[in-house]
Amino acid sequence: MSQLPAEVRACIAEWLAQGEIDLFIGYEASSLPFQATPAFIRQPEEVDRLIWDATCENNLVSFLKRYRGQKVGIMLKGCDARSLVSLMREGQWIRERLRIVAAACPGVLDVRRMVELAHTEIENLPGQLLPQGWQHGETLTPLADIRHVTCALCLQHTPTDYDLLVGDPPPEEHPDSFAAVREIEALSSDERWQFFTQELSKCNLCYTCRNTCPMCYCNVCFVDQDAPRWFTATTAPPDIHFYQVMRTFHLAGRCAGCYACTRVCPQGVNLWLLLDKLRADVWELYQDDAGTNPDAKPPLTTYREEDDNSFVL
Amino acid sequence: MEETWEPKIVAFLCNWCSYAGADLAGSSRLQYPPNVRVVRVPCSGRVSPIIIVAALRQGMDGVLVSGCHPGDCHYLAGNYYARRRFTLLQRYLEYLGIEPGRVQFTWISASEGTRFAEVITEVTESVRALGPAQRLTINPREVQP
Amino acid sequence: MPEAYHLPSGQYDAWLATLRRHGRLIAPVMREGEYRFDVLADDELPMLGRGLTRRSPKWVFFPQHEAMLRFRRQADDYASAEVAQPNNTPQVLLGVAPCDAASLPMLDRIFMDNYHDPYYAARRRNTLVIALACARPTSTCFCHALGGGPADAAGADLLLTVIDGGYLLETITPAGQSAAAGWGLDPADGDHREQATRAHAVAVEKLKPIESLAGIEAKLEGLFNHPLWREAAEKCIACGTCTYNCPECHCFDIRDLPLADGGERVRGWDACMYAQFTVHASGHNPRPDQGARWRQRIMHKFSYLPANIGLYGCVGCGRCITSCPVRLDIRQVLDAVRRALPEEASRGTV
Repeated sequence: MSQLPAEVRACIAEWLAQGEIDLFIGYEASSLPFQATPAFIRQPEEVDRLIWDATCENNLVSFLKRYRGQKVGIMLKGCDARSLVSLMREGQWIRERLRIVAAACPGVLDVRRMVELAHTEIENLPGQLLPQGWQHGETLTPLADIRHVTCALCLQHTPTDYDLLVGDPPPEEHPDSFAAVREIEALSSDERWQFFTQELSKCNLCYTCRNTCPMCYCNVCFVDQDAPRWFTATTAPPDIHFYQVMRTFHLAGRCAGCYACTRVCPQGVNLWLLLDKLRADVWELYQDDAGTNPDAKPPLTTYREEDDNSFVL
Repeated sequence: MEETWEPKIVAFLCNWCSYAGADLAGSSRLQYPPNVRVVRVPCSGRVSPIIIVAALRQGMDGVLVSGCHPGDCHYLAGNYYARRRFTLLQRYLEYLGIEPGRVQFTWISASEGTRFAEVITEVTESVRALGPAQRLTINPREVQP
Repeated sequence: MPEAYHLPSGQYDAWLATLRRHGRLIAPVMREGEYRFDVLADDELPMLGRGLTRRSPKWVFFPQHEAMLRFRRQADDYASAEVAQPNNTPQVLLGVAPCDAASLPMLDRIFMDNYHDPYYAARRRNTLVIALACARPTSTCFCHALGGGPADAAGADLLLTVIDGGYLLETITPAGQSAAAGWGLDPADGDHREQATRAHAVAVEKLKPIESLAGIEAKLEGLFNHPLWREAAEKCIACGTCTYNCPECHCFDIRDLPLADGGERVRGWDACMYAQFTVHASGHNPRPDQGARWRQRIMHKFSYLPANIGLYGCVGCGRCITSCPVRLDIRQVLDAVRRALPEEASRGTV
């Protein structure tokens, strides 16, 4: 675990002391090895708990909806910052009420994958499986091999808009992030249905994806509505499908590709394969990327007369 | 179990154009298949994607949404907003493996009674060719051999 | 002294075949990258001894989707309904960790005591539970804080322990005794027993020292309105994964699922972590925030259940810790309970 640099901690403490922020949301060590946990800091003397390293996997932007009206400091990775942009362009938060500590993030660890590779419990992970530069032990595995699968799709390692920066920004990779979507598109309709029913059969309807999504801020989610009651919320496949299709579609034009849902899914459902299709189509049809410009209008709240009309009968 | 299967289709028609078009088809005594259940909505922009997917979930074999032609919306731009949502929804459902043709969109004006009858015929026949809906539905039926 | 048999590796395959004849075999396997309990195919081998499964095996007795009633639409538009019958298929649940087995006496009290649940009871009656002594406690294990242990066989019919060249099989219940008597195994000798005792001691050694939780129910008295609940729950995202994966959590909801020309009334898992769990028809929610929901989770497990049935609602398996997407550690919440002073509790709600 790497404590935040002293000057960064001092600055956060100063923000808190001066009342520039009411609360700082960052990361601290959890009781589990290689996994950080969200930290909510309100007193200047608590800032020493704050850390930043490859274990800081959660997207803290999803906590912001609870602190509307407050002034908040927050630690953001590149992907998290993109989701904040999407949130801001929907008028859900204003930059003036935020202090952003940006993390130059080369990727976060996939502990589940590390454990699988090592065939052992987390606490017994051998030194060879620790990422390069890790302070605990041998440094033999490049981070690229044990970072989360969604980090290989990284759209932005380092936030572009921040008050403080931690770490050296790695070069941006610009991967062809829609390659997997194109691969699935090449399958037949039957094969695609089979693929997605198989993938979604892992889901046990815990709604962690919804609860961790920064963009899922509806006061009452459609799954919780009583009148009308849209679905039965059992784990029968039609209910699982209905939930996943509707939740992901509600993110069309809004999902910034932070992939927090995929990283937190307790069942390891590859939700990014659903959401990336929507991002791919929004980009192709409306040239919009939800994570770049906080002043842009979300694509589904606007239109052009010359929009694609080829799909109608 | 039904002896012979007939497609069940729900059509969401906007009040100002497509519903009037259906009315014209009726008063002109035009023939079209009786497989369509019409739901009148104020505007195609009112048709949230969840209504479409919920219709499939509840056992509809096909869904049609029809509004005013682009530029003719009674509320000026409702169908333009709808068009973006529907484009994405149709592509998305097909990506997930829902057969193309289950969910269709069109624009029909109040004067297009003939076109209404044609569209309903076309949609009914294409859904019939696909067979009973098996995907996303709580009502999966065996395909009749 | 319980009876004990020796199961040498050479007889393991034949023994598995015997178990399969006894009933359908449920054991830990790797499925879609998840180490979990599942029904084994005829030629499939269990993967024993890889630590805890990600999810507990409670679904074997209390599935996430339980049809209780089936209804059909008749031709004349009347409905006919049929109560779903309990499942009497004989089953063998093999390789259960002692902590998971320890959850069964508590679930039995819930589902077979005051209220007799026919579905749960039928599965319990028809399932032979064979525990495997835990050889790899991890840092998140705290069974020993709740009176359990790596070789604690409570709740199981039989207990397996890995020894040199095979297993020691101890019978715990009469059901276990009568089953094992028909398996044609040789009785264990003193050496086998000694090896097993040593293995148990080695596992106990691996457990991290921890303060016992015995008596925590007394401490919880007077903390109902304490600010610790809201503080503890601040990072909770209310996903309920802790309750789904927990071997003891047993809250459920009943819903009507429409299906082809009818439907079924389903009992499915629910969780105190969800805002919807307690919302009234009026819209009022007596547990208005996540702090109140966490208080319920702790109070139910460590105060109400001990008061009502004399057992804790927690076996210390640590699944809620390892599966939490934000790493909220129940042990830290319990530490906060230990440190909390009743006089800090306000008279208002949390």
